[in-house]
Amino acid sequence: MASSSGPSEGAIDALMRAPDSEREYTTPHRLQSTHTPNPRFTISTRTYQQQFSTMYFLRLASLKPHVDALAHSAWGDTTIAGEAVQHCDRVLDVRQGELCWVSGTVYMDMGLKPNILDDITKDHWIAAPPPRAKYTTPGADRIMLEDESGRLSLVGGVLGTMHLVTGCVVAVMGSETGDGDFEVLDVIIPDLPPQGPVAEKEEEEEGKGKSKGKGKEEGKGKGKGKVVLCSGLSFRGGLRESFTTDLLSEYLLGELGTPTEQAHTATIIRLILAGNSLGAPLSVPVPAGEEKAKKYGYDASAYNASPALALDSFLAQLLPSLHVTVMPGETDPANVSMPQQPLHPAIFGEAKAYGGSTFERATNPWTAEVGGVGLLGTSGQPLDDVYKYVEGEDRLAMAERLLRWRVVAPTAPDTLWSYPFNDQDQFVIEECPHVFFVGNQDKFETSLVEGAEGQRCRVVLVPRFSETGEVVVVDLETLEVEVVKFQLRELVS
Amino acid sequence: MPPRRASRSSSGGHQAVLSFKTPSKIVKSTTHLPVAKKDAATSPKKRASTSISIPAASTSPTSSPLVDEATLSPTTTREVVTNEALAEYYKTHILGTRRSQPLHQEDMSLQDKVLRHWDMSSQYGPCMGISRLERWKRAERMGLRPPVLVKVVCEGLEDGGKAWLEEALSLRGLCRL
Repeated sequence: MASSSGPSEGAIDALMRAPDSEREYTTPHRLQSTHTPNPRFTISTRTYQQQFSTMYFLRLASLKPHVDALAHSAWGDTTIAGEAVQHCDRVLDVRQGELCWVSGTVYMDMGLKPNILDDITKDHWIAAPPPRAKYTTPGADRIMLEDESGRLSLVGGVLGTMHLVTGCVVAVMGSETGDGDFEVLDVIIPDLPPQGPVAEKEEEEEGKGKSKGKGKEEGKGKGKGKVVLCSGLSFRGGLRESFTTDLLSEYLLGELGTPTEQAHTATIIRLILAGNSLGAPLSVPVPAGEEKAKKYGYDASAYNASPALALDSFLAQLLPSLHVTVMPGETDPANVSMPQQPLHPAIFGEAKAYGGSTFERATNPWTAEVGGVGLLGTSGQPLDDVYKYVEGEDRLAMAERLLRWRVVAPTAPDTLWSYPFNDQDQFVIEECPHVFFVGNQDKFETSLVEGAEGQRCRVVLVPRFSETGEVVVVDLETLEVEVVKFQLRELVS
Repeated sequence: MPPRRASRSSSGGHQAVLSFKTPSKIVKSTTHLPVAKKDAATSPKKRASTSISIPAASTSPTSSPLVDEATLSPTTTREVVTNEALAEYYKTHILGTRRSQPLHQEDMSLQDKVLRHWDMSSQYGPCMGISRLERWKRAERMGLRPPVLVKVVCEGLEDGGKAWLEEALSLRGLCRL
């Protein structure tokens, strides 16, 4: 956040001057932009008549044509040792000893995956096994390729470099060995989906369906604006947390800094809270002897509303001036299964008044077009689940692979609880976003992913604000990111 | 799988009563009139204004003259599946792909056999938890080109028709649907 002139002189000159009644102060205006929400993750009617296998069928049916096309062009005229590569329609059509390629869904057979038998053990014995950080057992895990007809066990050194998880749709080329395993020579993934062009501002005025109609163009020369990504605010109702969040809200409102900084902040068009805005409330100690009778099985007076009130007042400060999107996370009061539905407006006493204008209660995952730029993001649960399947700590590479597999939550519904989609697997990424963010990660990481057809996507891992005090500012025009960190000196020790 | 009962009349009870004993036409009147949509995409061989019910999917090689238009009156628009058309579909597309005759299907009517084959065609997805007609429409939406004849038959069923497997399991209390 360096100002254009010398750091201290500019600041001193701008801030530390005597009040001057003749001086004209210009009021900076915030940049306006359009916002086109995408309701694909909103589930209006929930029916549970269908099975989860339908989701796998839908995912395979939508991704298989792309994978097959890529595989045809890659292996169509490949010959290995004089033998041409055949194409097998179904997994079970693979013949022993024949060099062929086939496509299907990956299934990882891991012994350490959550097992229903563990739950039964917990019922009968007191000590439950501790939750594991990873499900992997190197050497003992099996990778299988599956489609409607059956399953095929995959072996081969190349699989170790692909880091596949359950739910990816891939095409594999190889041959079946004597003991029934398929020896893989090469793997093809769908790779980045096609990316639409960034809509220019003029085109957005033609009424794009559900555009919220705030497309006032101000300052055409300022670009598309910036979006602030923040996650893990974790309001708990404590006293000290308001120090850093107040700094954040002052920064976003332009109350902080010199006029240069304010001009910079005026280009921020939206704040996205990517999950975990509410944390576990600090428990209110009940004085002995005053324990009230429990009605309906829980003690109503033990409910601590201060996290929700704190979040609500934080939002109410920002909403008159800034668009805010709130996504539910793991610790938020929303449904557990993905896609998480928007938080209920009753939690937000003051902020809900802005529900029709600047306040957006979003789903998790969330996708929308802001200023013509496509955004897609989750609150972290899909990536955390993928992390458990894969050896290694490189979360940024895992997030990139999610894009390349074209599925935002591949482990749903295997280990990630999910709604059984009946019509279309909404987790399949059909259009490549320009910004893909994952919230509630350990540290900030970013990279620019490029595709074969010229697609460009900025992948951002957003750290938890309650632990690091960092927020990420993404410039929608250039897809560059910068990190702004809020910290109090006396807390740093 | 539990052993099949000898009589399958319980499954036929939910469906419209059809008579396959006489080679007469089965005429079902339908309320919807998708003529405009079908006209746009119909193959050239069916363009009579009284003809119905062959939507765009008929460009696939599985289509055959399934609708007998000659005896329709010009003012009515109905979906017609003849017994002969059903039998021909069964012979070419179901028996033709198998190596042996299906077993234990002696008591099933031709329509039941065709619908059972539709349920068990896994390339259109699992048959449980969704009605037959809805499953056909979803397959059509996804571009899988399901056979048109099946749709016509399903439209005559009550509520689009539940898969045989689903009905059988719920009758035995094995799935709550």
